[in-house]
Amino acid sequence: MNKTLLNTVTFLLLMIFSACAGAEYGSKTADSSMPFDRTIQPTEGRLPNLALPAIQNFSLSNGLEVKLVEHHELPLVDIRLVIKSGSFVDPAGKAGTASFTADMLDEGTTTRDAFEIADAKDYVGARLGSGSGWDGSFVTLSTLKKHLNTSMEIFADISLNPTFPTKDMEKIRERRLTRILQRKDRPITLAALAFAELVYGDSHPYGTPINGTEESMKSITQSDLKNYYSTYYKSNNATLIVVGDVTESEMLPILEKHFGSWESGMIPETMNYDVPEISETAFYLVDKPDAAQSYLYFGHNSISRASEDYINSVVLNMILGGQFSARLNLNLREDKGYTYGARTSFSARKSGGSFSARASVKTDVTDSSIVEFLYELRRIRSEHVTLEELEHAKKSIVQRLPLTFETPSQIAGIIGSQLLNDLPDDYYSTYGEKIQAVTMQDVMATAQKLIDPEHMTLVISGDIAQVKEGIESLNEGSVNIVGGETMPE
Amino acid sequence: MNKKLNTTLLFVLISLSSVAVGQISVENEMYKIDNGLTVILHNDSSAPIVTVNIWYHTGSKDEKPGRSGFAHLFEHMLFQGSLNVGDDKHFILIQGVGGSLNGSTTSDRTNYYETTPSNYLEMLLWLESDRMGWLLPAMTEKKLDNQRDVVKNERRQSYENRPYGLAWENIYFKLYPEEHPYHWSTIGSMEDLSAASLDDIKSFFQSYYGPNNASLVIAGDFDSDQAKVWVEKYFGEIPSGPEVVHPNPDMPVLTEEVRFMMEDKVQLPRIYFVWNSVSRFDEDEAALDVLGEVLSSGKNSRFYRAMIYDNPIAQDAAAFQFSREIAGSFEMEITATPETNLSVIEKVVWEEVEKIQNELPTEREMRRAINSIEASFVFGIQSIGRKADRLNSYYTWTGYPDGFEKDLSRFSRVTAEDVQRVANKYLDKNNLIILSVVPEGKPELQASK
Repeated sequence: MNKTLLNTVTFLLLMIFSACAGAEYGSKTADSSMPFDRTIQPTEGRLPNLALPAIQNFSLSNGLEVKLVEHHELPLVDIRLVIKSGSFVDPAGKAGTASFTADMLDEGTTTRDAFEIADAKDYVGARLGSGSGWDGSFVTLSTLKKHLNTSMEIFADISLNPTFPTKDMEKIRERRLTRILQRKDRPITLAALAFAELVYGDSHPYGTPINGTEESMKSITQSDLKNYYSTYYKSNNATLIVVGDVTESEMLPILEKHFGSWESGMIPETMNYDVPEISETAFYLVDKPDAAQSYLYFGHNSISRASEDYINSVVLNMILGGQFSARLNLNLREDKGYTYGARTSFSARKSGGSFSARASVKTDVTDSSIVEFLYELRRIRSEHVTLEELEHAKKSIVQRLPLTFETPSQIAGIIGSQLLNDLPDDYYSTYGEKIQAVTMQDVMATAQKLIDPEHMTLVISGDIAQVKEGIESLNEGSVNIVGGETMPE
Repeated sequence: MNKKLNTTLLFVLISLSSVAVGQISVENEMYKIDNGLTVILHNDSSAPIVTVNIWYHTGSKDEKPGRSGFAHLFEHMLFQGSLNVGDDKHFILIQGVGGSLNGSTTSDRTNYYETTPSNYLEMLLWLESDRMGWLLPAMTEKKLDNQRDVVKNERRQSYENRPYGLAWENIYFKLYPEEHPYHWSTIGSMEDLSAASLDDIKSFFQSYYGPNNASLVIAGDFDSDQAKVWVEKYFGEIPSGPEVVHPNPDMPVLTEEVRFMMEDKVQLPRIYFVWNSVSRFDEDEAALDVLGEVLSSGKNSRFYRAMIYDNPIAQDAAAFQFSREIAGSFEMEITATPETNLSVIEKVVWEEVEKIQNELPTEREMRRAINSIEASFVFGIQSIGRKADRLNSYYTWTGYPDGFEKDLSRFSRVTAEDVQRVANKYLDKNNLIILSVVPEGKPELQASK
């Protein structure tokens, strides 16, 4: 059995912020009844050390890798089976296969039907889930430690022995088709789906939704699910992540018992796909008659998680639109009052990604909002960000780490994401330094490289009758109408 | 992650039932300072972070006629800057040190909370105290107009432009009489938001935002002695406000069936059933929670079997108790499958209601429901932010922050007879609200008598 115990990586943020060193509990001795100047912001005190989760690596007799983090605050255990294949490898024309497969895991096994599975987990108050993302599929369990054995038994059963029973499959298919129908209710969903299809085209996996389309959902057969399962749910294509009130010696026999004889298999190579070139910026309007707001979803194809620009993109995004106090929101919301919130993000996946800028804006300021969006996207390419903005963003990113490693499920989620993106266990031990090294020159160069307002897809879901004229008068690009019979359902 | 054995969460395992979670106690120190501010300290050094969570015991219940939505609009104004802290600085300073923050308003309380690395506690107390004591001098018409627009956009985004988004507002218009403060919604009407003035800000602040109407929880990795010094330093000189008297009309009781219909831009019809029930921590509340679980939680629930699996007429089905400070309701929300007539759903609902009114739930149903509720108590206190909010919630409603065990023990005492009894007592066939929301142009799908 191969076991590596990583040393706890002490994360000395203090070194990064030398400006606040030594200012420990500045006012501790002050007499509280003394008048003082309230306009002076209190000193920061000494930044605490963040000990990143110590990941213990071991494997079962069949080679299945396990990553375990001890977390003894509460008598809980979080377990996550990560399959390193997700919706990206859905068969052509069968979008939704990975997610449908994951959906069916708890609908029947060789020894339990759907009701027995649900009864067993509800009886011990456990939470069981399954699903798929672009790059991975997941089975998750949160349980009280005292019910670990019972919960693990059910968790392993649905992970390893699903039968995809026909009757349950048809019922789930119907419910999934109805959810697809319900997409029409939500302008945000309509815009996001139209954006994906326009940016990636229908032959790229990212062009169709993870949950599939009406057409693809109708075409998926029981053997499609069984094939997906038997191809990708293999011990050599999976990792178990355990975070909670347990130790390796406690978990090993339990995991060995349930997962130790799980078979390995040949995992097909993942294909590469081309992304269509966008020749010029164009608007695509999805009609929602009488809508009180327009939903703006602007952007284009962008970097994958492995890109050398990734770290720069994190800082760039934080300044531009990654949080409340970023430029786009301060402009659109806090200055203009056009929206309840505006954000940007880079969605960096394993095989590619996208950049997007988004907001729901009041219908009668749709055109004015577009002007502000384009202003911010162009400004960050043409002018340096201020030193203050840069420091704000970097500190914001680095010092948020202690908040993101707080609970077992957060930790398990981060480890899962590291796994799927081939990042090392100690990735976050150098993350802060990398973020700190980003300069204002880097931000501008990255903006020029990764944000291109002149080759952008601008999707707007709203009341076309009210907004079209205003958008045309901006002269920022051709205005097209999509949706209805032809575009994403 | 760095762990301390002397964690302040004590789990004394006792055998309430075969699967009880045990006893939960969240140790804390509570005191009041001279101006009446309640302070609750809870040390938990399992992560190097600290949370400040402040509750003002005021919400839309305290709004004047013609000013619906004001308590929530006022919450927005607290992020716009106070005398000694510059405009917009609240978000900038906290996010700028890696923190997370927000606020929220309900009918009965308004909370503000922020979590940061533990060394920023003093800054958080400085920020919170400044807006408790020195908000008005920094208030301007321009800020009010800006946030009025933002809140109107929130109403558009979260209510008007959201499928079924106006259903609950319309239900409560009918469940509560016009003079009852739960009659109107927390988001308020566009008209009333337009009418809100700087004078309203001033008088609401003076009436409800005094330290004597607030409770401050500090939780996480911090030194209690130091925190007490800072609390006194920053909050000590803020004067008390007047004594707060909340409206407290009698629990309204519907004396008829109110059936109505709305058309919306939706694909699926949805039906709502709403009964007057009980307020928060009423003796029947836990049994009503269990009733909701038995009816609609999980694949073995009554609704899943009857409406989703065996005879699929519904896409989703939920039943739950909704408790507020001075009143509450038992509610059902069921989305039909495409083109299903809501009368078909209604018929099945009444069959299930009659069934649970006449036959005891099984022992297995009871255990599943209660064990799931109990486990959710433990899942719910994993994050320091949520734990702090819970302490403030127990304090505000019961006067005692460590209410976890007392709350939990209510569920272990609920019997099958209790569930049957509350089903009979509250799910009255003649006195309730039934709302059908149907796709535009399809009124024929509504549940008609």
